[in-house]
This record gives sequence, structure tokens and C-alpha cells, in this order.
Amino acid sequence: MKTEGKIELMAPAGDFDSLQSAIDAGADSVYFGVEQLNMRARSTVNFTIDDLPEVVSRCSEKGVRSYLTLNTIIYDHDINVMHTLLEAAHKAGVTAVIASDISVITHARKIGMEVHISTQQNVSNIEAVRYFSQMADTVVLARELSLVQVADIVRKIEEENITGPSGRKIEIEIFGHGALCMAISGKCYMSLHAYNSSANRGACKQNCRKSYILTEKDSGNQIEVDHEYLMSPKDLCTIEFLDRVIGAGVSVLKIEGRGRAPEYVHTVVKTYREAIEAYYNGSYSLEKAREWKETLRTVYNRDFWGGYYLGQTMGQWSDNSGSNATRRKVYIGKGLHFYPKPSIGEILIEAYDLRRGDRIIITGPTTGVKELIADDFLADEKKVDVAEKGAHVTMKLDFRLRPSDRVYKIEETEYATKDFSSSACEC
Amino acid sequence: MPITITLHREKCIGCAYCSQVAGEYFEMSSIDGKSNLIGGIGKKGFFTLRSDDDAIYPCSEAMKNCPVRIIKVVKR
Repeated sequence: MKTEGKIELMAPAGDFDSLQSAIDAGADSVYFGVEQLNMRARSTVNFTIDDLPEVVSRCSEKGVRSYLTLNTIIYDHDINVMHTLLEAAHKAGVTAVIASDISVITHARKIGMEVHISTQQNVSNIEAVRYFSQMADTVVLARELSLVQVADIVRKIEEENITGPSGRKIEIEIFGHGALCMAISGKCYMSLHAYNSSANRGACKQNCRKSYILTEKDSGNQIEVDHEYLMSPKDLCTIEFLDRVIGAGVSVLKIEGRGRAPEYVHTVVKTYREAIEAYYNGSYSLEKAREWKETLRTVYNRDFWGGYYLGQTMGQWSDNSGSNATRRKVYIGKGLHFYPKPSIGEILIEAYDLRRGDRIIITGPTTGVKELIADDFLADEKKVDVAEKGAHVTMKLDFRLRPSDRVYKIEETEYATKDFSSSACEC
Repeated sequence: MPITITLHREKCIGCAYCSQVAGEYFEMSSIDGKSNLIGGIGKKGFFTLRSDDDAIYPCSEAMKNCPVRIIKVVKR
């Protein structure tokens, strides 16, 4: 739940698993797409209109704000579905819509729904904030601004007392963690040109994440660059300068990643939650921030940099097409049954095996993400060190296991032993 | 030779490319913004239309253009 005066931590929710993980990990708010009109239309399952009451109910139970992302380019044939989505979301009690197209903003205002201006609007100056304050209460700034520019905008909002339709002062939101796009504010047509798959309709095929060779056409010479991933920036991470982010007067810190797994959402939200609390109780320090950064490395990442916030020159590019996560999950089985009185869960091992001492995570649409060490379990009612494929494993759990839950073993990757000290962001 | 066109409609993201390159066969629904296979018969989320081979060129273009690959065109 958001505490007045503290920065709001906003988490991505691509499905119920991630939604629950975000809520459990301490998010103040979540954002999600419904059906097709959002920037992850292709990469995630997305919620349906029928899911809206459940999404809102889970959020409001914990005092978490809910935001519908409806920020693609809108065509004429989308108008009716856009109206239907907005009206259903408003009726269900969704807090606000994150919008970029004027048609969405106009209709949301017409039905009395709070509007947040999406980063897709590329808001980069106070004049634009002033303009959007006529229709929105929160503005997501362009990811390419420096923190100095962000702080200037916030200061001017204060000085001029720029308020939104609610009468509250305009809140400024920025991206705090996750993937960055090679194009400004995600306005990229490369995927459309190459694959006819438009990023601006939520169908980005991420060709920027591949390796390329740069050749000068006239001479045929290959231009020497220090890596082949010419267009793939490292992921944004602000944990090492979160004090400066909060100090800039930012109201909302957004975690990117509606296409990411629930354990990603859980780890990132939990880590930033700890850091934010540490800032407010005066225990935030660079040493702690470095430890948090190592925790963030355990889940999907393309290595980290501080984005454009610190005003440094560009040049923080990824060195591979996938993740540098120090841990990976391997599917081993599913939840079968839960015996509530002794609080024992029964798991069917469907792949690989479960070994005593294995670190496992259990994820599901209601369970969210739970992590534990499997140091005490029975396989087919016998005490063994290794439960093979096909075994029915029972173990004591401090949460309810459900048949919709999947069980994964956590393994270290080759990045677990890599030294990242040379790639720390220069802050 | 007759052809069969299939549309896995629920996965449509409403980009409208199919209706632009094969407007005789696909149109965008003004109700939910997704593509309709005109005259197609729906079963378990898949819509199917049998047509003569005049449809091959535009429908194959629609298949190639579809960013979420939910259109299939087969000869039979």
C-alpha cells in the first residue's frame, strides 16, 4: 500500500502469477494489459475483460493501485473495443488508465476515469506536462531525460502548482528498472520494417537484441565496433542511485517487465521495496545497494547500467542476445494436493529430479512465487535424498499448495561466477 | 484446386494488415477490433473458409504479413 510522501513502487503484471508476486513482494501499484491494445500484446498472455474484477479485488484487498495499460497506436477499428475496455475497467474499479493516444485520453476523461500519460508520449519538458495536466494526474517522463532534467520538471510543477483534473499536484513517474529500447520512448519501427510486426501495436520482435555486423557499403569494409550487439542496450537499474531518484522528487518508480516471469517480478519488486524503505529510514548505503544489485542479477537481465539518468555518454551495450541472470529455473513438477491440517504439500516430479538441499520455487496464479530449500521431504512416503521423475513428493509448507502451481529447481548459471565489477554503472 | 484459409481469431492483436492486403477475405470487427474471416465457420476459436484458388495470392500475403502468425493457407 502506498504511504503518503513515499515514492510509489509500480510493478508489471503480465498474468495472475506475476500480479500475485507483485502484491506479495510489496508493490504499491501494478499495471497490466487487457486484450490486445497494449505494448505487450504479442509477448504476454494478457488479461481478459472478464479478469478485471478479480485483478481489482486482489489489488484493493491489499490497498494496491491498479492501472490499465492502453497505450498502443489506435486505429478506427479499435475505437469500440477501446471504449468497451475503458468502461469495463472503470466499472471494475481500476484506478487509472495509462494512455498515449488522444482518443483513449478523451474517452477516459469522458467517463470520469483517471488518466496517466504513457512514456509513449515522450514527455520531455514542463510545457508538455502543463498541457497534459488538463487531462492527466500523472505523467510518465521520457526515459531519455537526465535526473537533473527530471528534477527541474518536478520543481516547476511545485513552483507553478500544476494540478491535474483531480485537483492534486501532477505526479511524475519514471522507469526505474528493466529493459531499455534503442529507440526514443519505444517509438521504434524496426520490427515493423523487418517483420511487419509493429512494436507500436505491442508486437515488437526485438530484432535490436540480435548481433549485427556493420559494413560500409562503398568499400565493403566492416566497421570495427567493440561488440556485435549494436542496438541492444543493457538493462536499466537505478538501485545504486535510488537516493538521487527519490531526491529528484519523482513520485512513481516503474519496474518494466510485463513479459517477465513471476519470480522476476517478485525479486525486483522485493529488492526495490527494501531499498526504498532503507532510503526513508536512513539506512540506504552504496554497500547495501551493491548487494541489492547482486540480488537483481539473479533474475533475467542483459547486465545493467544507469540509463540516461546520470547524463553519461551512451555506450552501455549488451554483449549477448539473452539473459545474464546468475540463476535459472528448471521445471521439475507440479502441485498435486495440499493437506491443510499438517500443512503438507504433495508434488509430482515430472522432469529431472529433486535432491535434498535443492533450492526450489513454486509459482502459480494464486500462489504467486514462493522460494524454499527442499531439505526435508518424502518421496512415495520414503525418506530419500533424490526423488526421481514420477515420484510423489510430500513436504511441509508454510503456504497452501495448489494444483495450478508449478515447481522449479533453481540452478546457478555461468554468470554466477562472472565478475561484473568492470561493468558497474558509473555513479 | 480449392484452398482452405484458417484464422486463429482469439490471438489476433488487431493490426489490420490482413484486411488491407486481402480485404475480400478479412475485415476488422468494429465490436472487438479483431480480424474476421468473412464467411468463415468458427470452431473452438479457429475460423475456417474453403475457397477457390483466386484467394491464394491475397490470403498468402495476409498470412505472410500477420505478425502473430495466426493465418494459415493450405491447398486442399
